[in-house]
Amino acid sequence: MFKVRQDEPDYAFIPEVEVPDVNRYGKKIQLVDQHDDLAGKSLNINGDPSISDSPNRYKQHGFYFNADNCISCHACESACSEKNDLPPHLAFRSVGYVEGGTYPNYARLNISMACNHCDDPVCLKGCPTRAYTKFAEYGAVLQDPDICFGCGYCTWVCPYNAPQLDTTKGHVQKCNMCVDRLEVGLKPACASACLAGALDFGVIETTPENRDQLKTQIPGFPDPEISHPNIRFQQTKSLPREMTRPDNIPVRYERDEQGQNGFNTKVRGNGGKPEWNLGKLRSREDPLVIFTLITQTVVGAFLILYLGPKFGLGELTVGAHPVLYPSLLLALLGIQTFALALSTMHLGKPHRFYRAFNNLRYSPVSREIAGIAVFYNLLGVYTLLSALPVLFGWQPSSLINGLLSIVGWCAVIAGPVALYFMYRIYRIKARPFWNHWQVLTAFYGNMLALGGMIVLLVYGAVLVSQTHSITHLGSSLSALIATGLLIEMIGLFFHARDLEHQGGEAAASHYRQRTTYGKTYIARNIGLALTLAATLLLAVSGLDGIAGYTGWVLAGMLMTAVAVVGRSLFYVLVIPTTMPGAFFWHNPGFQEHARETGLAEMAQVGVVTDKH
Amino acid sequence: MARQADKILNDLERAVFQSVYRSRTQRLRRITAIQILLLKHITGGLLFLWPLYVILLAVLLTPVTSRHLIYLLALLPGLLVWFYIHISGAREDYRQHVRNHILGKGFIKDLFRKS
Repeated sequence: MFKVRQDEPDYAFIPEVEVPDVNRYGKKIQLVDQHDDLAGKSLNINGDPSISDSPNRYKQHGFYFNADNCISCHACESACSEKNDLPPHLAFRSVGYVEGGTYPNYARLNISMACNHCDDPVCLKGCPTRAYTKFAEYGAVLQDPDICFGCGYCTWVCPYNAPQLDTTKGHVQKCNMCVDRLEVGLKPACASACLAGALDFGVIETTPENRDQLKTQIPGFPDPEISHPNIRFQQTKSLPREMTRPDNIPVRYERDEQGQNGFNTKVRGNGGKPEWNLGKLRSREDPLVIFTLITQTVVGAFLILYLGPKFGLGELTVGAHPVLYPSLLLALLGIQTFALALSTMHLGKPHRFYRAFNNLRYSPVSREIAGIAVFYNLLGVYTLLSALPVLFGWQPSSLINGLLSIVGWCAVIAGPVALYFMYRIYRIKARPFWNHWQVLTAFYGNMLALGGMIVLLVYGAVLVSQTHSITHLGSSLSALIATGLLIEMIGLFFHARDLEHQGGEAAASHYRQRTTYGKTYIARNIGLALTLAATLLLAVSGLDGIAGYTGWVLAGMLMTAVAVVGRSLFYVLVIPTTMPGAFFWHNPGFQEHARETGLAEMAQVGVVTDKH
Repeated sequence: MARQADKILNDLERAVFQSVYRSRTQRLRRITAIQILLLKHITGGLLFLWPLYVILLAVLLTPVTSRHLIYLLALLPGLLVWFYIHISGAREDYRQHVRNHILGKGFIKDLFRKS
């Protein structure tokens, strides 16, 4: 246990104060019922009854931040790092700022932020491994790095940048509220270390000494409705009409002259020129680009292979091509295995992938993995039954056919359901660029277009080599491919329109889409339109033989390139509704610079190199 | 005596630890531990990717033709990535539970339980 020093000053102890029954979100502050066995009892740790004997032990605690007082000395950061023995590239608490005005009327608002131990912790619900727990003791949200397998989903969903992904160790860590200090009556290390009386700690909704306000928002702080954070602010000094961030996120905060919200988030910058930046399309999520596209292709191809013959596509029956049909199924199985294996490579601890199934009740990641696992296993059984009938020759054929039909239909249902779960992963309030139905149209659109194209190209090659016509197959599948492309285009149109209307980080993502990646974005859209035009043209023209097949190959190549670029853009363009960083710390622009110039090789700079 | 090298605080204890750590019994136990970890991780991984056996069966049951090449192409990438993942899993468990540890009598049970 933590030992209290002899000369610990009074301000380092949590004061005992009157506590209201409920917080501003209507939730009880007392987290354990008054009549519960736990209520009001010491845990008597190590035979010491003075440990954890606080009467407020089972009440929700939280941080109090007085923005007027913070001088950005970073003492809270240092105390936290020392207490938790953190490496330079990690900080459970960090101080960022927003600034505005011009000299001499320059103003800067510093914000010290760590985990807010939310009433509705989105990290806990999102974590597929159940590494998070919200404890009745102090209402702390704690995370176990030994359970975590480093998927980083909690870092996506948290609006406050609290969970920190340690890429060198392959797991996430976060603020633990210094629970060991709380057990002996002390405030967390950060609050005790604050020089300026800016950071304080106590039971939530109790106004600390020398404070008047308990606000839930200040400029730069994300919408508290996302997770009901346990932090309260005081900010009384007047601020300029417009504030900006020191990091490279193109967002500014403009005072809302009419409304009550204080500041509105707007896009910073205009007139930026469109650029390519193809090299910047690479990201940590590269395995997910390949995984999502391959999975959508395999689901689409299987649906066409299974349902095609039932809708009059005679070329796709097993009888028509007894060798090709099972070979394509085996190939689909192979590439789906590869995609699944590749998706685990994006984890910090790939060999702990099986923990992804631990939180089916809440986590969309768990549901996605479970959905795809079900489809993958059904595909395996279906392939086994249809590709290797010799193994089941001793069974009546009616039984095998019946089984094939059941497994096939189950896989037909399981595939699109798995893609729906895949889409749900990206409905994250803290990432407005993803939080749109366009993600679903993109996933289902790719399923139809890429799945249809792969079946067409594989069957087309065999048909052409046997000097058969591909026009019937081409025109039939082109309807599906065109539908898929059209669905995706409609989704993209409404996505771009809604991003503009939504404002804030959503509009900032769209701004970056039109500037930093502007030419790439336009090229992708033109590519999509060209693929649709080529698909329709090839279907209508009736071009056959090698010439026709070459046309389909070119259309397929263009479609694949468009899909890869589109999905890469999807991952790199997202701007989270996160806390403002500082000039160096938590500034993606500086991190990029440090990696390019080799500064990142110096551990004390606090930026990990790309080597990890 | 400490059971982990990183918990040793003084030279005398370190010397005792090293003499036990380098003993024949401990060496044999470490070799057994490596085999158990490999078996555990690779078997576990193969259970998850059982559909790949279907491709393997297809390779074995089909008369040698150009189709073999296609099946092998479908089989190998997934198999290699999975193999890499599980070897690294075994390696991490070795680092955490075997290297610089004195393995007691119940180490086999511990390896299955902890890692």
